[in-house]
Amino acid sequence: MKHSLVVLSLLVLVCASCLSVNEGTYRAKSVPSTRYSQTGVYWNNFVLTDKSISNKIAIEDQGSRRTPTGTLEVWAQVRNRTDFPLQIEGRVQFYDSEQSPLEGPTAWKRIMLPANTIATWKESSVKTSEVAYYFGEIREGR
Amino acid sequence: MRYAHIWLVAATLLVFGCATTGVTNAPGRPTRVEDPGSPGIVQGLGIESQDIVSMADQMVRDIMATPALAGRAVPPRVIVDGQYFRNESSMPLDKSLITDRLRVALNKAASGKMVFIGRNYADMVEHERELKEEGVVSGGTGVRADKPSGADYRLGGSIRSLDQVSSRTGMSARYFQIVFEMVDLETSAIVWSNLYDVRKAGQDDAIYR
Repeated sequence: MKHSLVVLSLLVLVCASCLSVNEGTYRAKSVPSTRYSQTGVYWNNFVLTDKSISNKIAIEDQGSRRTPTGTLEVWAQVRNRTDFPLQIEGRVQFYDSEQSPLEGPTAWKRIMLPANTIATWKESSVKTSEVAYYFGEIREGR
Repeated sequence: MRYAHIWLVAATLLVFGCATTGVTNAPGRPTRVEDPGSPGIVQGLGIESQDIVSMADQMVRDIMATPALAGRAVPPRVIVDGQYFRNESSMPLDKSLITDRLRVALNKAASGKMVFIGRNYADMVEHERELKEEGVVSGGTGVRADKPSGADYRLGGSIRSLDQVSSRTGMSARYFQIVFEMVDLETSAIVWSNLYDVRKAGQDDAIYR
């Protein structure tokens, strides 16, 4: 009787392990911004991707304008809130009016921020009139 | 007696298990793929991939915002190569890494607003034209040009550096200034210029090859 129970348990375990199938692909999902307010794409805005600098850096102002050739120049005024020098890197991605990406993100561009100073990070698109939105990211320089 | 056999087998297994083959079998650090746009695991005081990616990207975007180059009704013909882009820094560097990346990215971005002349391929073009003229090969499908295209502008520039070593701490620092200029090939006027500079400091340097 005891042996029968052991064998039965083993059989159940084997069958149960066979039931978990890892075959196939998995659907990617987005994290709802209602649950995590920091997620999502904030159109025409710059965000800090690095928690370590979220208390050290303030984005005082940001905006965009058209250059003489029609490309879109975006800028962010960044203030170093600390009393020591900081380095930050930024990049931006440009999108069309349907919010489809037009070009890959720009290369990370570094600016230096001496203690308690303000500096302007700016970059421009290579596409012209089709650029309608941008999304900028700023991280600590490494 | 029974336990003696077991102990003998266990001891034999232990001895042979410990015997090494002489082959270094320890797992090494695996090769990893890195983002060329960010600093990698090997860093020194020289120009590195993230600098090249960043400077080329910045120059492309600045050129595309310059009316004299990207805003002309008739697309200008431009040569972007390393012929007049000199490396005068203390670091050995294949400057084509910069100029090639700049040309490729600019050509992609310009999408017809500028025409790029491959002057470094002049021999190749000349050879093909000779074969066509001699009737060895047929003409191409495009319009026959009297002669290869001349250019309106050409890239010039320089890479310069300033080295410092502290005799007290052994720390080293190197400042790089990379200047890019687009020169009018008729008047010598510099119609666009920009620079990328970076200073790096550290105790250890990498060997650049």
